Amino acid sequence: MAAVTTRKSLPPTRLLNHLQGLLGPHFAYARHGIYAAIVVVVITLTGVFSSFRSGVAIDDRVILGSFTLMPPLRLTTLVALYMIGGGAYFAAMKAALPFPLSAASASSRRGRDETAARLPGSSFVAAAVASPIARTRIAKALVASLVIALALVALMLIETVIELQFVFTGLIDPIRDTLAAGETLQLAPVVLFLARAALIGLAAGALASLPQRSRKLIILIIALLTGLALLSDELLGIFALPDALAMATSFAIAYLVIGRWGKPWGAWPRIGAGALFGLALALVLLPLIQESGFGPGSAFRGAGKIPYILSQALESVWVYFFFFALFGVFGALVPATPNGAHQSSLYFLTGVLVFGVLNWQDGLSYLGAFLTALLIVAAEIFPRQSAPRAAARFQDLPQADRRKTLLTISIILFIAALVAPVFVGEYITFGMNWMALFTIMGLGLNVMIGYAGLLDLGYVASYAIGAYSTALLTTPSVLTCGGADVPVAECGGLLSFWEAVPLAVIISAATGVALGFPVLRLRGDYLAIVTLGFGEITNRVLKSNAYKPVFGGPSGITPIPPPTLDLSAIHPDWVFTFNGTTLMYYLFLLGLIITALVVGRLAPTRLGRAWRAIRADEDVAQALGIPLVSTKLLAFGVSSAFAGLGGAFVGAWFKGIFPDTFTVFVSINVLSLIIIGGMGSVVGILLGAFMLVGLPEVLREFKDYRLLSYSSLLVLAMLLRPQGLIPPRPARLAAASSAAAAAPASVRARIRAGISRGGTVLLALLLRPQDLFSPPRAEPQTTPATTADPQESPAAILEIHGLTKRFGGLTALRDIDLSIPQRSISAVIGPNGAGKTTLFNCLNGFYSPEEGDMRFRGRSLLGLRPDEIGAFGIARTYQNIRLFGEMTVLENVLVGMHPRLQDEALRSLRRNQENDPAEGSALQEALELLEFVGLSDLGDEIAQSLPYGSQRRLEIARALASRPELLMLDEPAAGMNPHETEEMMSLIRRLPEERKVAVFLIEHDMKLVMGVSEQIAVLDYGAKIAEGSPREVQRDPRVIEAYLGVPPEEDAGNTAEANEAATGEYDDA
Amino acid sequence: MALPLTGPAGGNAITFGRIRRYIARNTLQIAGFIFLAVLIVSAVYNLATGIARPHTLLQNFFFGLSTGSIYALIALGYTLVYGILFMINFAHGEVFMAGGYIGYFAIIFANDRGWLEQHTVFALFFTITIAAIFSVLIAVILERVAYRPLRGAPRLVPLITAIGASIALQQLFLRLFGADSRRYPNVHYYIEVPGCQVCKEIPGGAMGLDLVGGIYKVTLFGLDIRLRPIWFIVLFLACSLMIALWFYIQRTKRGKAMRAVAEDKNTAALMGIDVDGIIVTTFVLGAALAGAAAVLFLIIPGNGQATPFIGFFPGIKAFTAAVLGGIGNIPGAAVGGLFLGVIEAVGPPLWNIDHQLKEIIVFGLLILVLILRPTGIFGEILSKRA
Repeated sequence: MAAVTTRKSLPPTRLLNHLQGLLGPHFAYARHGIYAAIVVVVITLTGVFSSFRSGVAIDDRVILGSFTLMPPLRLTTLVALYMIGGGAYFAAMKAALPFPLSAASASSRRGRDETAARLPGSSFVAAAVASPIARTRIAKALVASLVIALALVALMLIETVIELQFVFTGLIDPIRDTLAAGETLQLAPVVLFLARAALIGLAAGALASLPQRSRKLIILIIALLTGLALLSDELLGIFALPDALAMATSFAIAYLVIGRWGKPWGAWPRIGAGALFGLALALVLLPLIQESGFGPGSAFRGAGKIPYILSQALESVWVYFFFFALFGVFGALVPATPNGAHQSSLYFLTGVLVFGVLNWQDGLSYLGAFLTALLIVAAEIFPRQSAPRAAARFQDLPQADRRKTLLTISIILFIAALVAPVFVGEYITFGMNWMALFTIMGLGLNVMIGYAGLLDLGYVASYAIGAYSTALLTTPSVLTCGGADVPVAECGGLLSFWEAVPLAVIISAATGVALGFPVLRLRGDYLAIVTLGFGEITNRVLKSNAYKPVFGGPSGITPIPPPTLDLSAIHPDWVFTFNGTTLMYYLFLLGLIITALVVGRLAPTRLGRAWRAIRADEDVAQALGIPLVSTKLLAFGVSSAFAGLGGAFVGAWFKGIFPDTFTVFVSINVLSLIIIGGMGSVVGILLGAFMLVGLPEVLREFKDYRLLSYSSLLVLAMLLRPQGLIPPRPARLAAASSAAAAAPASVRARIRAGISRGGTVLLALLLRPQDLFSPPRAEPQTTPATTADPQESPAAILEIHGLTKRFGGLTALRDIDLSIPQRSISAVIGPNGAGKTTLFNCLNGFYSPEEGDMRFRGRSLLGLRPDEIGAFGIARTYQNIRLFGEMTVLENVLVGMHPRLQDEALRSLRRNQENDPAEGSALQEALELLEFVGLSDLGDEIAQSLPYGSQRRLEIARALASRPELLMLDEPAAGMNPHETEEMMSLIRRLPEERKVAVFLIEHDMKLVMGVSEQIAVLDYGAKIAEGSPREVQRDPRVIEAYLGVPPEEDAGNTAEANEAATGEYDDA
Repeated sequence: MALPLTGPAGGNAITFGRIRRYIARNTLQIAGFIFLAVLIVSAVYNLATGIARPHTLLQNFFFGLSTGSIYALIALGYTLVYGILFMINFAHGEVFMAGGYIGYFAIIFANDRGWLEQHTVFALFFTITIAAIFSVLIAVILERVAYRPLRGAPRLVPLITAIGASIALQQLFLRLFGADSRRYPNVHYYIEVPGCQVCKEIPGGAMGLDLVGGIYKVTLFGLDIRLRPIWFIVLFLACSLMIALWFYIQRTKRGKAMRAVAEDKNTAALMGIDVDGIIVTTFVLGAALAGAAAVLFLIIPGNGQATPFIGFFPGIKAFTAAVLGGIGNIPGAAVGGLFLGVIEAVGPPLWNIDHQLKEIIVFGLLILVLILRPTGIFGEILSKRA
């Protein structure tokens, strides 16, 4: 039966190709329109109009109304228009150039995109529209919009004939009600609908023809205006226009004055002057305020609410002056800030003004929308000139002032976050709480996925465990009664919330580690499914009747007592019960800040680098001395801890927990937000949480469509922008390192290091239990290589006896004996498949040999893991370069230092990087290594962007970073040209002396091998056939036979020439 | 990977140090084996003491065979796609769900026209065909939109896409068709069996069997159990489909092309094989089997509710079955599915586990297999990691 279906069903694309054949080239115009129409019809059938039916009516408030000649605009109509417009835009963007024009217009388009940006106003619009590509785009958009509209009309027709509701239950209202406004389908409304669709299509096509910058700006404006319109009821009270104007003025005066004249000022004078400007403005405004009093109907106030800040002048003067000073300081600092801070500060100010405008006319009006659009344009355009200047000024500041500036701005933002609930009201605060919760969880999961590359879909399990632990520990239950004959309600909780949270976090982390342990070795996709299973099992167990006495079954645990903070010792009134959204907000804020600090600071540490190295290439990371199990388990533990924190908070927030809130969708939700926001970047995750959690939580109309849009966005993100909206920026360590060198290790820093080392031991006990019963490992080499003089101890550093390695029936290595003297250069050569790389893989622990022994520095390597061998002093490079491609050059080298740097999971929590003496000296040493291999200027480059030869040298630098005593180079000159090979040879010759390392290399380039090696071993079919100095080996008849296949007796006299030939052959290879 | 008690060093003397090192290195495997042993011992104990009642076990065994054959059908979809693309088609459970959902509308359509009563076999065939066609449609769109553009991307990327697509399909069906479950109508197909002891009276007065909806008391090995004929029909149908698939892959030209693509896509393309077409075929085959499986699953009385979420657990279990049999290995998936179905049905009474928690058995099994024998019981055949 299966086979029958196969032959009958044509894939839709093939069907379309078929249609294309019928319709000829014109079909190209309709193709994407048809795709869009299918999507639109499907969305329509989900009953999207009905979902928005009860939503906020926008009336005549949105400017789109005038575009479409159909005010007043209902939300449902708006949805239809967006769908048509969006489909048309998609089709237009997919416009392939008409065949004869394609080459010419593609180049002209590129040229125009650049020139158009410089041309003012309408002329470039006209120029753009006149171009062939623009005409194609507009035509395609028009066709697409008509196709979509016709599809909808067809749907309406079908609807009048057949009852669709039986199948499509989402379809509550008939579609014609929305689109053609009538019970029966009449011609006139349908024609009107088509005309509107055509207009929308033209607009979308024109939009698609604009240069990228203006296009993005317009889309941003439309999106923001739509958001404002949808949310206008909730956003109304946030900022009154007079407040917004006053604060913006305070900011602007300080910004302009200080930006212009305050160039050489340090941080403190700026802050002081900014505060003065703000206070002065406040004083000037004071009489004005007292006279007008903001009575109802005053022109300044408009129809909006009573301004909060200005009216404080009449009640509590301190608040009034404080806000003015705050914005003044803000404005004074921003003119000398790095790019991101500058930009976001201006966005913040724009936001304040936008809310003011919204409030002015009690909702979004035409005028308000226009002003808002202007503000957005200004916020987009203004920083383009000012931001580089601000960044340059910031660079000119001394180090201390830079830190002060950033610190003060953070404090201002913190204050803004503290007072936010007062301004935004409870409803928005509710959304912000969700956002904070999911940011905490997102940051936690980011450790797992973004840093360590472990796709964990069972994240909800840790979340649930945190929530249930807190609930069980704080709620009166059978547990706390301990079997006593007391009613449960009178037992009281076991612990207070504050005691329970750390415990819950620890429990979550511990279960995370425990769950992680059995699945660590799984491949990415298996790991995903197994962890998904964990999440489901947790849910099942919580829900099941079997554990009802403990977990409460389907009804969960209620009521959880709200956390209380008893500060009555300080002030008798200060007893806070966190039982409302607003008070919980502060708890979430605290959690968020802690999480962001921890996660953000983990990234540039030894541990963070180890995670990313594992994500990039597990084997290589392990060979560099990174223990895989414990490092991965740490990721499980850390990320589960944050999920536990989130869970603990959420229980307290809702005063109860229910198993149905802990489903796999939570995991998917968190996953989507970190992927869409940008894995690995804190700001990206915040943005992701805002888009995927904060907004939908507040936009009631979208509630039903939340998961659908997340999951579709997830797919789209992977297809279009796999790095997320705000990808993390590579660390610019090399540039910053000059400053680091200056910082001496203070006594305080040393004490702190001691404390954190103690903490690390505790953490290790908690998180790395397997270390406690693992075999005595090779002592990690924390000190530089042994100081023994090579002259005094000529003993071999590496000795191999009778080494045999079999793969099934194939013997890859047979009874190999080798010894490598200290600080020598040895080579192993042999034809392809002779077992050379297998030998390396045995030596560094990738393979375990069946027989024989390998002794390094007198100790057997048998049974050691690659990371132990790496830490013990054997480093290697790879035949096909295996760098951590997405990390910077410097980070690659720093990963190489892993076993030498101290284990400081806790230290990382309180950097600062620049002040950390160990990191600082590591950085210096890494830079010095880069200089040694000749890459000193490229420290901040992304490793995979380096040219081939440099990548080889970087691999050597990375291997040297652990200060090995044996360095194995696997074909260091493969793929190099003669000149590069020369360079490589001189680099290799310098290694034993300058780096105190014995070199053991595999190479096919005979010039290199014969040129640098002191002794050579020759392998053939897994057996050693010759050994000795280059000269000896060259003359060995068996070697010649292995390479050339000539019987020795026939060619005994010609060894030298034969050898020449061999050399030549491998030069070409 | 059995228990090689000589450590990695391969020395001859088994010293205390070696054993300790071995234990430290293979903690997980040892724990897995101990767990397995505990399971077996407790099963034997429960059997011996009568906690697990034999007739429940036997009855569940037959039920498990039918569920297992459905898992096997779904598992084939995972295995086929994995064998060729080395990716887990996470959304395959949703392809199954789509088949079940569309099958519901088809069977209602057939029922409204009276086909279900008068031409039962035709109506069921009609339902299965429609379901399979829609499953195929979904799978082909999925492949074209979500997977094909990402071929060659890092492993995690198509996996995340697949997860997204899976949830998107669930939610799309939820939005399109609503949250209320759609119950399949009760189907009866009577045949007259003269001289049968367990039979009941069928409409028309004669003694016979209701092959789809009936349930009959049978004595087997001296145990009184209740069996449904449909279990065996499902088992039979599933086995025939699997055999047909096996022949398709082993004996037809296109099947040979599939195996070639599984080995090496580039070389296959150089040999003139339309790789994209073959990949689409793979999806089509898997989806058709899943669609058919969905209808068979929902026809069994007691299973018959289609919701947008029915794909999740069968999907995961079928995946487990595929892993059990060695993902990429077609007969392995079939055996794995049957084995899983039986374990899942027999497990709760055997180990005295709450029925609500039977999923734990599945996941426990999955983890156990992945720890002890990551290549599955029969090993990965089609898949050699490229």
